[in-house]
Amino acid sequence: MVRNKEGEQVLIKAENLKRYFMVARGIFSRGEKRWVHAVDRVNLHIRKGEIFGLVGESGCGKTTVGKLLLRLERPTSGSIHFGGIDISKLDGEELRKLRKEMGMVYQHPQSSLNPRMLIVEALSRPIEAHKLAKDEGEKMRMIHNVLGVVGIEPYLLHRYPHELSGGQQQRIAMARILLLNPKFIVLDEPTSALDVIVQAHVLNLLSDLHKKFGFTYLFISHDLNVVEHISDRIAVMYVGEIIELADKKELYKNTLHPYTRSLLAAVPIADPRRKLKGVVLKGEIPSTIDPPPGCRFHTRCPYAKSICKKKKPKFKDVGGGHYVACHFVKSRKHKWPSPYD
Amino acid sequence: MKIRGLKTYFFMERGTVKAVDGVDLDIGKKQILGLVGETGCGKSITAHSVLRLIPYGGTIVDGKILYEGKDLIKLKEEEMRKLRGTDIAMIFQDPHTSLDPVFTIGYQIGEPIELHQVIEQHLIKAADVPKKVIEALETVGIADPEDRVASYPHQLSGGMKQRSMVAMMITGTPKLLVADEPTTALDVTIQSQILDLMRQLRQKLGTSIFLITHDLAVVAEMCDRVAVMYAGQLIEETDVIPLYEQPLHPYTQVLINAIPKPGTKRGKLATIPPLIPDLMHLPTGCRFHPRCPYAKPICEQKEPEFKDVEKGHRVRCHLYS
Repeated sequence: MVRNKEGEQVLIKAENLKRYFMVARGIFSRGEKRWVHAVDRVNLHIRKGEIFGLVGESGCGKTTVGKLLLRLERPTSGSIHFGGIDISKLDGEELRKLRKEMGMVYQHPQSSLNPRMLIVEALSRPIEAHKLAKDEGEKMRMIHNVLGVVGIEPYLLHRYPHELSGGQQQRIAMARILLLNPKFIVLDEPTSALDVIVQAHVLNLLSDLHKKFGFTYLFISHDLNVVEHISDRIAVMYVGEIIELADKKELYKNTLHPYTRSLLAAVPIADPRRKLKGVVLKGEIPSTIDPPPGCRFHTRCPYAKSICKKKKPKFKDVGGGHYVACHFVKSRKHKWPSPYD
Repeated sequence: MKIRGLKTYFFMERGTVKAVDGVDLDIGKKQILGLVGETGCGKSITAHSVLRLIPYGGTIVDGKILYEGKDLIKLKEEEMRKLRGTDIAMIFQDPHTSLDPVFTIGYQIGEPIELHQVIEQHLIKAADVPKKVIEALETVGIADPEDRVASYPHQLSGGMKQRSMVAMMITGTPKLLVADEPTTALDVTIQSQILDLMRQLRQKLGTSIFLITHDLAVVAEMCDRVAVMYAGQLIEETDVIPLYEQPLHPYTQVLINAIPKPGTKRGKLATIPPLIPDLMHLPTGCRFHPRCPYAKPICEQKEPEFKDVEKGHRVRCHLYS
């Protein structure tokens, strides 16, 4: 295991990670290439055993980051270290071995479970693929064990996915990953499709499993209340880039990037006495196809100056592991004037 | 608007689905009333019933919807059509499906103006309609409205589509706006813009709003009064602050404590068994008793009444009788 300067165990480290997708190369664009900058210059490290939250609005590239870290996507450039090994260029059999170490839970469990497969078959697949059981008996013991862990009654094994509720499907998706006993799990909006009470069940389950088995999670969500509840550290993405990263408490108490500040002001909180801060953020999220030059947030930022249009701000540590990409934030003590003055 | 004993049933081959089963609600002038509940509790059908736009197979079997002295249920379809859009307007959850893909935004916003104002009341001239449309787009904060009127829905983002829907409504200056999950499909920063727009609408035009949502955080931010729905019935109704600070019904208590909030410990969210009630085979007695942590024998036998426990705070639970 690799340790960083502070002596913490780092499980995953991504440096300068980029993933571009090509679009529009038809007759009308005359062979001109245009690129979707889905993920651009992403730097992050995830400590062993932590829950790392990744938030951002739709289309900001948070799912692509999750897939890159699992190597379900090949990065355009940059490196990904997993437990000290560079996995960004792995292929074939080496990549297949890696699959056992990691897993992903998707937003819509219906689409990640094969509708024609019984639950028992869906759960057998990972065991067979990685040859984890000696015989049929051991396989079934493993399946029954894991069902107990995620709280599913064994009679559901002989049902099809559509006969299960959303919460149950999400538990099965989780069970399938637990069978491999992975080190790292990416949870991509695991509760967004669920009602609040079912969401509470799934969040409690994820927390229990984390405590019991010491997994490392990357928790991707657009819901800032959920991310705050579950994460240890949080990164905020905007149009393909990470613009702020800090410990949970630090991020919510000492918010430094103007985008994060307006995002937190926009999130409704279940407290009717909270005073409304009004709409700080005007306009729409820019497209990741040919994103704005300079700081990508300058088109909506209330503090933008001419430098923001020209020069990209560096993503830097301003103290205590609080990273920000903004020209004006030089230290943790930075104070913004109210945007209304 | 006063809703009294509203019952909307769906008659299916396998049985009757009691989607709305005896709902009483008052929506005051300039008030924002929230209706919350889980998926399939009947909140959306209640909203659609107000405008008599019930999906195929459903019928209002009983009740009154009193609006300015008229019972909307007894109105003829033509009279009802005159009210829709002018007096009572509706925004839907999914802006992608509520706009017609083959007409421009400008045409679709202008259409209700033409129908209601020009043809029926001769309030404005047909030639002034485009100007009205541009004004409406400006009010809802769409940049370059002169160019945008010629856009088709697919050329707009989700937020802009939802804003166009709001623009379409304000051209009729409605007295009541029924908003069915208006921001569920939107990102948070866009959501806050749309919610702000709705608050301004109440401020400037004095519109009452009937807001249907599953999101208790949105309710806390928007509403004056809140009603909680469970399995086709209201189970609690009160002002917004007591609902969050002293929820009385066990179901409301769980709903409020299941939301991740600053300060709740990881893994310690409140839960109840995740059984969604089957509206075709409802439990006897209190419909919530199979999931209720406080259920007693009486809850299984007798349906509790929906009545005032304190002034202006109605609850349907045997614990308070």
